[in-house]
Amino acid sequence: MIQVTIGTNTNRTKVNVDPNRTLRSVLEENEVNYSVAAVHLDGVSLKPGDLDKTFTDLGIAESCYLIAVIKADNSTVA
Amino acid sequence: MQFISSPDKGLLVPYELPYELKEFFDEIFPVYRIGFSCPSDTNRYFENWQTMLLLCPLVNHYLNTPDLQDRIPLAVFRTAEKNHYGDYWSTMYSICNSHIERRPNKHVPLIYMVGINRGKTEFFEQLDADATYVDQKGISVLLQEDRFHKIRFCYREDINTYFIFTSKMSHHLARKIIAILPGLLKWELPTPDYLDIIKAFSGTDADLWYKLLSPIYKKLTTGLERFRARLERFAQDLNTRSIRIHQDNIAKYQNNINDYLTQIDIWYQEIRKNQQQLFALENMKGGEFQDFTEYILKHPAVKSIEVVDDRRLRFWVVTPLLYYDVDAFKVMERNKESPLYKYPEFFRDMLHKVFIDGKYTIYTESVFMIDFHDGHVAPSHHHHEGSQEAYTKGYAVWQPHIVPQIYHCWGNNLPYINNALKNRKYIEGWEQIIAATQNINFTDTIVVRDFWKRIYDQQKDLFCIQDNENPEIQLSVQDYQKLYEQVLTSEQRTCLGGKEI
Repeated sequence: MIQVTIGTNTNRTKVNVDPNRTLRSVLEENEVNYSVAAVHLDGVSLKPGDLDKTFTDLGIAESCYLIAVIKADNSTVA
Repeated sequence: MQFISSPDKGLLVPYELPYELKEFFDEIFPVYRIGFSCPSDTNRYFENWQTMLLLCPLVNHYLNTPDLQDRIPLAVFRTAEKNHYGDYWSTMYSICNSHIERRPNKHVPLIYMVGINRGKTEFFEQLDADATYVDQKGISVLLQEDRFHKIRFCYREDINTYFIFTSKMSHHLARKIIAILPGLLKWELPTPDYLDIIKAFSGTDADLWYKLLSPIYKKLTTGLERFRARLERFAQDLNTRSIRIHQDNIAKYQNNINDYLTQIDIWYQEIRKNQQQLFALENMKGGEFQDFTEYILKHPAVKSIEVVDDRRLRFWVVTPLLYYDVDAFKVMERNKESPLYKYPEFFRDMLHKVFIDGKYTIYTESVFMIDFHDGHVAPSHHHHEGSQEAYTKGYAVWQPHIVPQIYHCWGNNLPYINNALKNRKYIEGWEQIIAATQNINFTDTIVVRDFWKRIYDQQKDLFCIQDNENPEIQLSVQDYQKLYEQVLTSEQRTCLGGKEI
């Protein structure tokens, strides 16, 4: 089992999960709406397809941070 | 004969009140006013202290007699002086205008003395021919002062008004008019000799008038007893004033206590809030910042960290541009007028491979500060500090939206960043910052133009793009240009060779 810290803009929880589960299933189980968020795994942005990889596939052996941040635009500040 | 105003001074004009009687006037005036009003009397023919002195006992009598109370006010006085220029109706309209005809208190008789200064003969002739104003000759004769004096006494029942048209106005005439009022208006007199006093007032018997005035005058000019009322009023005022001072003081101190209690409440709330935060910090396993420290030390984007002061850290990060609108870039490519076409082909080719083909990724360097005390992200440096180039460390080209001295644009990310930092959720705040540095907004044309210009010109030798198939290959724009030209030349050679073959 690995400890995953799932953080969103409103909530943060620590869960113990099987490293052979996919990231998507863990996010869905914890009710994180990743469709409107950019998901970072230990500071690295996930690429298309990474969500369906397991934690083991992505090299996570002990613990990790899975952070979903809101997709927002930058623009010129007046 | 001369009418004398007071026993020792012969004042000719009745409205010049003897000084000794001024206080007395203050007492009688409000009483008189209940019984009589005088909206217009410039020369004070009716409205003077003598008339008030005369009529005040009458008003008092009406006020103190229950059956008579509903008959006050007793009369309204009015005077006017007019010139007659031949137009009788115009003159009459100016005398008895609609304001008088429609007055609301018609039940109170109006005593209206009208002096005609010019065109007297003509006016009185026309008046005599006017059926609306019928002269009551018996009264006119009584009021006539000499044989040259033209006077008409007329009553208009419809507006309950007594008109006294006169060729000359005088205080004496006004007093004579007042003398006929008890009989005319059927006043109930307070004492049997009151009528004699009124007659004296009208100027026929000065002795009686003196009899009325003398005791009042003596009362007000001799003996200390006359100060009693004044001292009693003073004592009353003094008490009232003292009471008010104490009441005000009590209210003031009560307010102070309330303010103080409100402030204590605020301070207690502050204590409670701080205690809660302290408790949370003391019971936090390892602490939020410790978690953040561990997290940041392993973070792939971080290139450098600097402690600015006891509350702020400065960070240099290098991140890929991952979030952008592909369609917006395609529109730029399709539009030959777009700023993209100001650049040579190799540059456009590079951007196409980055944003459309995904063969390369642009990496940018961002520098910013985080204030951990107040919980917000801040520009890396103050605008006056050093040169623009000194802010970055040359790890990569600058992030288009976070450019020293020019842009500090976190856009819609900012509330999420600051909200997380304020709530001590540093890791979430940090990742939102990183996400913001991975974004380029193609609709922000000023920023995008600036970015193309910078990477093509000033920062063309800085690391900029990475080959996604082989991350070991990292190129600057300059390097890409060389590579592009080499590839192009080799293709041309192959192509030419093919033709030869």
